Amino acid sequence: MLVAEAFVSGSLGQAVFRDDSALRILDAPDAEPREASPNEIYWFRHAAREVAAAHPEGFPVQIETVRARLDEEIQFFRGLDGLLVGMDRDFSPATRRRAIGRAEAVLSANDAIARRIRERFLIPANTEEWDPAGGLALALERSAEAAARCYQPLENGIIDRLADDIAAVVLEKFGSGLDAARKRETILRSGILAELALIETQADRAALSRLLFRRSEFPKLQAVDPSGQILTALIQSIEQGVQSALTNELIDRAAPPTGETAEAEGFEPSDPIIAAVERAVAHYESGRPPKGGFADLPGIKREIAWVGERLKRDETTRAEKAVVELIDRRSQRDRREDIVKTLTAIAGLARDVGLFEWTWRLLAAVDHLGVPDAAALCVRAETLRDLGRYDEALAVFEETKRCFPDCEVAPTAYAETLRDLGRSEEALAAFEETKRRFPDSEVAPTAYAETLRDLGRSEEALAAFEETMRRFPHNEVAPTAHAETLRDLGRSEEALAALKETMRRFPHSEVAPTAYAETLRDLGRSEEALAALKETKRRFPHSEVAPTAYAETLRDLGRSDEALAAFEETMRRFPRNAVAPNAYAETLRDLGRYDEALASFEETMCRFPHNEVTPRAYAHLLAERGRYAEAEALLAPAAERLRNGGDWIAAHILAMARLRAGHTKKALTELEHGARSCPFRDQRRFFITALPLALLADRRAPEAVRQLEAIANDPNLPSVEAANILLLRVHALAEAGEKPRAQTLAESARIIEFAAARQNRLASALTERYGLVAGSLPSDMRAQQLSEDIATLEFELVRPKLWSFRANIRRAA
Amino acid sequence: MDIRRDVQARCINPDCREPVGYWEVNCRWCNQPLGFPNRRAAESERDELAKRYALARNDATQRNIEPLLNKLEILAEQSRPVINMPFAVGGNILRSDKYRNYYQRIDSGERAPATARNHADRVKVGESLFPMYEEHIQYAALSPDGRGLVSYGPVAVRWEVVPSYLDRRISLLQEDSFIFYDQFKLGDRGATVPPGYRAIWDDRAKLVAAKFASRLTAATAEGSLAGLLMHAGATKKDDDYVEIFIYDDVGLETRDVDLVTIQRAPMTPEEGHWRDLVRDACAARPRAIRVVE
Repeated sequence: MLVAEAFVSGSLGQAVFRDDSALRILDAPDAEPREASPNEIYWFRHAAREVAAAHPEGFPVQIETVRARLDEEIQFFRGLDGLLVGMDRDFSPATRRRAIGRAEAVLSANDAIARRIRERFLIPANTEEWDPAGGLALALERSAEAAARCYQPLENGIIDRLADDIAAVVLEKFGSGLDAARKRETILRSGILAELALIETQADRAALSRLLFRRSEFPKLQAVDPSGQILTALIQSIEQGVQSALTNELIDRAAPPTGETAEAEGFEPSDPIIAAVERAVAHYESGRPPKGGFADLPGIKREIAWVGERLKRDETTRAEKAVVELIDRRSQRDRREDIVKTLTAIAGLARDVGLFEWTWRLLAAVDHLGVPDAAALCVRAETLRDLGRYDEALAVFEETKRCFPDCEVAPTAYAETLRDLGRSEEALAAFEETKRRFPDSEVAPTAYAETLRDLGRSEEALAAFEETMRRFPHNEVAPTAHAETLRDLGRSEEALAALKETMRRFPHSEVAPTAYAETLRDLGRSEEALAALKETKRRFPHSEVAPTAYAETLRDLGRSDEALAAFEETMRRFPRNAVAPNAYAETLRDLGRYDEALASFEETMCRFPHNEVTPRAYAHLLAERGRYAEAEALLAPAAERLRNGGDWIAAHILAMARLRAGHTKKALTELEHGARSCPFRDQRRFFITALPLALLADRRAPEAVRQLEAIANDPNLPSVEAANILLLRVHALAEAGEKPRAQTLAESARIIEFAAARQNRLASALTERYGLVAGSLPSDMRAQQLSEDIATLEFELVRPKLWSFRANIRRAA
Repeated sequence: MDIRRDVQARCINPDCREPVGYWEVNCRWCNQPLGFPNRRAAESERDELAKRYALARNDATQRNIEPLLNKLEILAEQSRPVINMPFAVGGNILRSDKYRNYYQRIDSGERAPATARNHADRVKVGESLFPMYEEHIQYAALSPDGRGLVSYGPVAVRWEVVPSYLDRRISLLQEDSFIFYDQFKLGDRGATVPPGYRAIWDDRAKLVAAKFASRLTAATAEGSLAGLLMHAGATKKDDDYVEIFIYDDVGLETRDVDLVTIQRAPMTPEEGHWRDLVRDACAARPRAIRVVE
């Protein structure tokens, strides 16, 4: 029987064809054709993952051909989908194992289909979405060797590197236009990647050379590369890698044995990165000239970015392998200086994700190469700064300025370090000097304006930002910071409008949309903020800041369970992000799951030993749970040191912990000291806000009222804090016996849409505790409970923000 | 009323005002969005539906069964569109988009399989109710409890109706479209679709009341209302329900799915595999979908 318009879908296991005037469906290769039900054709067109014509040209075919094609496509789908489900974290391990088993059965039964599957499967996989390492482990666990061979090149990064090689060759031959992008995609999907991965895995140089004569096996590749020039360039590029792999193998064979024998023979097992650098040094000292040039730069940048991504995801073994290969390969073709630049860039990326041990290893490797480099020195100083070793950091920056007077990074970072230490006037002078010496630098003027903002000189800061925006219209940081300064001045609508304009001008930047959402959040427009952050997450799937801010906003709204789920997802996707686990633990605390929260903080402290925030948040919770002595032990060193902003925050938390523990006088003294002497404007404000609480605890309610009224009248009071102050005033007035005024204020508070659920809870507790609406007072027992709740909520509300999304946003910028 | 003639209007853009076809989604002159044609057609019949609804309510008042009718309307308000499908279709549409990168569709539009003219009966029914755009219509049932018509497949997928997506694309018909076609002899020469039997989403309770009020009696148990609203018969011809039409030309978006009901156990290992994929895919969604078995 001859049928027309026949199509098969392996995913649905169905074929559709026209017989006379009606369309019919085959439900299996051996089924009888039947008429289609409503929706079935729609599903075929829209739900099927894979649809193929039974005849390649669409000609009528025999029904037997349709059956055979359907059988083939079902096998193909089963194999490919099995591999994909096998590396999909969305599915349970049992489902993944079974899917791998199904794939294995197909891959080992039919070579032609297995090749088709490999060619389709082996393309660069986004490891945020896919888990090839998990797939490989499951495949090995059930001895699915064919499936394991498919996962291997994805897991060890071969596919990513080959894709980068292809991208570099296409860039070199065709530039970066739309046509080039299409060509690159076609090549990636032509099946050549699977073949190249096999060759690279086996380091089979002969097979690589023969590939040129097998182009007809890859028709899609041939269509975009009829003359073979791309493939030739690609082979040349990969040959270097294969050569390097062969060299590694020879070196490995000649390398000292490891383990007990090694010790017995007097060899120390070395760091693989240092070992690779030693090989590179040996190569340079052999006198062989380098063979490469600047044409390789885009490819190298991509490799560096790839390593950075691995570090970000905590895949340090893969990153290490890649760094070693990179050093080995580049030492054959590049100069020492180039390798230094590469290692420095990776050291900087390791620092960005808080892997300081990695940074030190890479900087040691740079030292080993013996080429002085300004960027490497700056990374060293920045790392010291991150670790709180400010004096050493300043010394390294000064040394860098002296040795490399043309380096504009060191003086700016030097001034930033002064700013960290609260030495804002010195920082201003240093920035001014940097601006004068490097008039084309965009960073110094922005940082200068930020420092003015730190000092509360907002109008001057605005003018400085405006000047920067005028001089550097393509700089996206200055307009965002400008808008935030407007917000500081209470000009929120202008700030929102400015951020909107920035979003319009810089549509590819995540900075302005995140700041926009944060501003909405500060203004109590949490639902709008949520919507904006959702959109930012969608548009910038690699952004770490937006998902964390989104979850925090859910937390503000009291939607703690959703917030927990959102934090968990962020932690899974960005395992090196330290903000999400802290906020996650705080959310557990919100839910009253204190033991889990404490355990979560402890785990985070182990994972991020250099993170300053976690111990403070942990100590805050200890104090809240009445474990004052432990909290004090954790906070005291920083509170006594008082060098950077973080130390002042620790001092604030300690003072509040003392207040909670009943050491009112001592707390009062410390809060007064902070309010008077803290050199950081933001932190100082927290001391000023907390001081009235200490006065209340000291039974000095009228003084507390006066202080709170002075704060409320400050035109620079941020809107998010204004709501807190209002609630504290209600409390102080009620305690001072001024119930009518407290009632009036509480009435006005009822129309405020509080940004955070905690504020709403405090408002209700105050109203009930002091009978501000109903007039009747609660029972003694209830009043006691309410007082306790009020103290806890106030303790929470006056706590300094332990992390700032704006800081993260800036860093992203 | 013949919608081919009557649901023809001018573009709503005051600067354009060109004639627009009843099947068009956007004005062909200025690209102004016009709304989806099935919904526009249903909206044009709101007055007639209101009259049918008023008659139904009068009847219920006279027969003293108004409270029961109120309950039926509440049930209709709470009902949602449900589509039943085979396990494999459920497993495909509920999975995340990341799989798209690995699969390929046919290369060109000309070779798209079956532009939905799947068989002669379907063409006739579709041409009567959705002239010129039948290929973009997807069929669902109004379900009070998340269960659907199992004769179309064991996996019942329920959608939440949100203003930004389904609300704009949905229209309802009092009966299964095949039965409606036969009942009003729409295949006869010159036959037209009678007005007042279609509704937009907001009017679903009115349509349900107009259809079922006459079947309610003082003896009707409250617990039987769900079964009245959707009755899955032994065969497709015996099904009695309110049909929903969804205009979608690129494939139904499953973001708003909130419930999946598996109405029968898998009968083959293949179905079992797909059932597990459906379960896991639902659990892995950003907003987990509840699966009832």
